Amino acid sequence: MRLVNEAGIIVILYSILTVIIGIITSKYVKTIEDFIVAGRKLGPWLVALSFNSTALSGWLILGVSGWVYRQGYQAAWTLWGSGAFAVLASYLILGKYIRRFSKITNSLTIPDMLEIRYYDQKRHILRWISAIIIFISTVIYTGGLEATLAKAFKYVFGIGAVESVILGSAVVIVYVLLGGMLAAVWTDVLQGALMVITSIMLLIVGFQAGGGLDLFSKVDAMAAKDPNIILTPWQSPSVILYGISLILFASILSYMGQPQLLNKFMGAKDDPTIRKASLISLITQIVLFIGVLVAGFAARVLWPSASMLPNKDTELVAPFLIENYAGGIALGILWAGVLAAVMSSADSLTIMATSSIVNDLYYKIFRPNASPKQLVNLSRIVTLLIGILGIIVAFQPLLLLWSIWLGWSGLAVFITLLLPGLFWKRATRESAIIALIVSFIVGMLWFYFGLQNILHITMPSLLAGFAIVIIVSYLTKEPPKEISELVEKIKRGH
Amino acid sequence: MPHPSRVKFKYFGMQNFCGENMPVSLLSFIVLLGVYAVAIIIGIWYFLYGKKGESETSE
Repeated sequence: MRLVNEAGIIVILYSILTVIIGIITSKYVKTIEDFIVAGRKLGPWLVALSFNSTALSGWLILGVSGWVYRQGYQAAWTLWGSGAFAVLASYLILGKYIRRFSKITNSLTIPDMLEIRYYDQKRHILRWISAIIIFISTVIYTGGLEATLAKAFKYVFGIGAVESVILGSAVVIVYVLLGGMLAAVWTDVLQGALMVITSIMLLIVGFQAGGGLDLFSKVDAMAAKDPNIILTPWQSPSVILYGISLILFASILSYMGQPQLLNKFMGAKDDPTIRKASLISLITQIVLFIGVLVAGFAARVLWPSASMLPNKDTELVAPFLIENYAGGIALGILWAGVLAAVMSSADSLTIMATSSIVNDLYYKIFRPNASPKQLVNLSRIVTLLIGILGIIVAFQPLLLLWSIWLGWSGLAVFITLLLPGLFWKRATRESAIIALIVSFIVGMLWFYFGLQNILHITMPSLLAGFAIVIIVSYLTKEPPKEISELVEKIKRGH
Repeated sequence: MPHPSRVKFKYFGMQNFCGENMPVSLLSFIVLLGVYAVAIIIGIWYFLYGKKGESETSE
């Protein structure tokens, strides 16, 4: 109980600090541009840390460490993808072009961009479909984040499953309504730094508890008894095939399609900022992933059977390791790190989903004369709705890894329009509309029929989307001349 | 008698390179870090030489 008390105090102190930063920085938010893209004034450190902490949530510290515990180096493909190459691809391939498009066309959100690029300003079909996809995916994603906090509260305070889900969901909703909506980027920096500290702690404690480099001999011995532990990322054809779906689709292409991450590029003050931020993002992201890998292996060696874990839950190996080998203060830092990871994703996600409904639909299509107060009130209602609907997901007996991945996969479909839209003049409006719908439905059905253990959801979903964009574009009338000129202008940068 | 997982790994020929007693999972960890090193080299290259085509002003 002593450990829990120390951990609880640190978690409470951290929460107060986050809200204070949110309130202080909120004074600088004066326009809608400040609110959605931070006034396009962000420097490299802010862009980088905000990008990382938004991308990674409780999925990393709890989900991935549990995945390594269960399946060893199958996770390596995601560690390479999400840990490094997805970050590089996002910055190197998309970063400066997204920023330029946003600035040249004065678009503040991804639905804004898509509507302009795919010349759909009259009918707003793409805007509607985008808003629906963003809303559904955000509800699922937020549900996964609420479930993460539920695990945390169940662990720290020993309360029941129902109470912990309600408490976890309430904390996410209250935070986003009060603090998160105000100044996500600055709190993201604090949260990003805390996540890095947590991961370094997991790396050190994991190696110490696991016996240094002997940890790996023990993992090998463990694998001899349990065929589920994958010892090399190329152990069998199925491991490699699943790995390809992880690295290329679930990581690289999915990162490039996440609207809440691309918003960070829109907020960058210039092209050099994005170049500089890329290296900071890359190195911190690698540190984040290595820590959870070592923690997962150490836990597997120390507690070979899931029945030895709290609540028999493999996604609690990281806190259990820290509690047993590093003490209460370290456990408090870890839970604050988990809280940071959850909140930093929740705030950016909710801002994106709320702006896609309130700004992109309500304000731009239905009520251009709406007052700022009306817009703020509606934003709060939408936020509340996302949080409450998320509770349904949080109650599902899903691994965090998958509930968060499902929301992530839904948002990833935007890459099937963004890549062709930015680099291929021939991509047409009709192809974009069909691709967005089909890609999203394929992904959800793949999960519904339980096929996600054969190939990651994103592989069939994104392949379908890209194929449709190419085929339908050739079958339909070429885009207007202004669109070709716009694509050229984005490439040139002026 | 080599560990069964080491036998599986032989087709990559790296076990001979690294020695009979190296655990497969350690070798995989080194490969993991090696791939990260490649990513960091690409990142540094972009940081140093990626200026071409940038619009310098914040517009």
